[in-house]
Amino acid sequence: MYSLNAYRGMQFYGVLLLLPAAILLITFAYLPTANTLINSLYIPSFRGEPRTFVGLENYQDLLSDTTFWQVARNNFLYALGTIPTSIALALGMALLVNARLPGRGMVRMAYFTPTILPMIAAANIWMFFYAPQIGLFNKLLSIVGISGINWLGDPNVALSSVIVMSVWKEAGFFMIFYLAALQSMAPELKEAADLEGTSRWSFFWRVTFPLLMPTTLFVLINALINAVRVVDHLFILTKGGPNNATNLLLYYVYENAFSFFDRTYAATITVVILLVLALVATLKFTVLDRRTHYQ
Amino acid sequence: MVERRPLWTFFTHAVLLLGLVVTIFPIYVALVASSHDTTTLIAGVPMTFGTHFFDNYARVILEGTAAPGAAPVGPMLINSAVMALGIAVGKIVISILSAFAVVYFRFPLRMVCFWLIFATLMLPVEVRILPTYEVIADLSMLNTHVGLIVPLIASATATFLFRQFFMTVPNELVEAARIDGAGPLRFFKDVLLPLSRTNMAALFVILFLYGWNQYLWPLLVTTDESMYTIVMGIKRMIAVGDDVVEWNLAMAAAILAMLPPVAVVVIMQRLFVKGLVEVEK
Repeated sequence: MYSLNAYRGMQFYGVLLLLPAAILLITFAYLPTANTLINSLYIPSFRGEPRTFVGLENYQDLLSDTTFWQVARNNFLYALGTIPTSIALALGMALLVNARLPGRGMVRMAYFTPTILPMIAAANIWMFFYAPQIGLFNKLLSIVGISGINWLGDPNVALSSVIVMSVWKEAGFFMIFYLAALQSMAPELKEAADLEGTSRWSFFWRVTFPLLMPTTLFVLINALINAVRVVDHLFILTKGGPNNATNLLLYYVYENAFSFFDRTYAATITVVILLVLALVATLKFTVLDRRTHYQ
Repeated sequence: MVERRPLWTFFTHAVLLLGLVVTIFPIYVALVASSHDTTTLIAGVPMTFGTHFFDNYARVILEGTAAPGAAPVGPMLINSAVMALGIAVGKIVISILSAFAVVYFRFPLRMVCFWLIFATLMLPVEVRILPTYEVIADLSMLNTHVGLIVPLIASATATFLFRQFFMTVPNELVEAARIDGAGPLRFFKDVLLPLSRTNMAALFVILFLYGWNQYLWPLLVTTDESMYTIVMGIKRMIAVGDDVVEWNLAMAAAILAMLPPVAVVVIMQRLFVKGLVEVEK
């Protein structure tokens, strides 16, 4: 695997080249992570007294914190609602805009625009759709006689509304990866299939889809990470409400740290998120490494 | 034979158009909203353009909204640009150097370094945002551009992608360079850099978008109005408590926030898509 070590005699160079990255990663990734772990074992200082070591007590609190379980469940449903839909839409859009058609560049750009928009701006715009009185959705529905769905205020609907907006925002990003993969596929495959009279349907399922498998895995991992990483839209749309119905893990961390001023509890939840991500990373290194035989 | 199916063509075009409507319509709504005055929007967004388009943009860039703390967005656009460019360029430079070191050099603890770098793949900044904030505060880098940029550079994704790419560079090139008497830096400059052009372009686009669209990090690190980024500005415009939100101005800011990233994508579109094919492998 490492047959490329052309510059054996020049250890000094290698270390020097690695130094900037090493310093940055230690200061801004490892130190903070270690701090999080340590903090999660304490409870915060109170009236100037030093903080107290409590061992795993924060973790016990976490297990009996019903809000935490609700937030974790929300995050799971959020992942389940956004990931398969975004990926399917992304693949569909990529296939559509990969075909020969007039104004193809413009259409591609249009499909990509929601991704370019900052999450905060996108959420802002969607307020025009979701707002209960003046929102466009309710205006449209009132034409057919349905009235007063509270898209972001009804605990039964709010999470779905957030999911729809996220899918709108994210699908275009994944489309680009599929598009890139489709463009690197050999055109001879399609020609051969046409000669043999293969239908579009079986060409897709037997040739295109399997060949896109590495891309699908790559996109899947990224979508999983995004599902715990991105919470900007909650600041605008729901602030985690109503009654925590749309609260997600990272937003709950933020609330604990900056609204409830309980940084050590925030650290405890962070450790849980890191464990989830470690699980995703394991998936990445085991499944993604096995995909090589596709190429 | 397969190509001549009018029903199929009709179907795909219909789906394509539907997709266009769904993706573009919200942005159209924002554009329309940014052309009206505040009172018109209280009743909901009209579907046609109003007459306040240029007033609104001039106001939002130069003056900001009436809400307290909602400053003009002109300087915010500059802060965002500095941040996004800093992150994109900084991360590419640092990552390509460390990938070069990991792939082409052998030194003590090389494998330890390797794993230390790649373990950060599962530590996204957003997740460790709180302790990272404490580090920046200890280094008294709050309210500085460096504080905005540097922590977001510290992750291994780009290093990983460059490493994957360097592994596909044929060994013969290294041998040839060595026989011609080229040292490692020469080889890096004359062979690896030109080969990595499309990769760098694709990464630049993705990292620029990433940096430009950050919200949480700038929110924590900046308290000084002169350091706010445009994304924060939009949020502040609508967080006005009981006052009437000036949606027209907030939407103008949202449109303005979209233009630089759109420009970057359009300019680099061809290299971008080509580069992604390689980035992914």
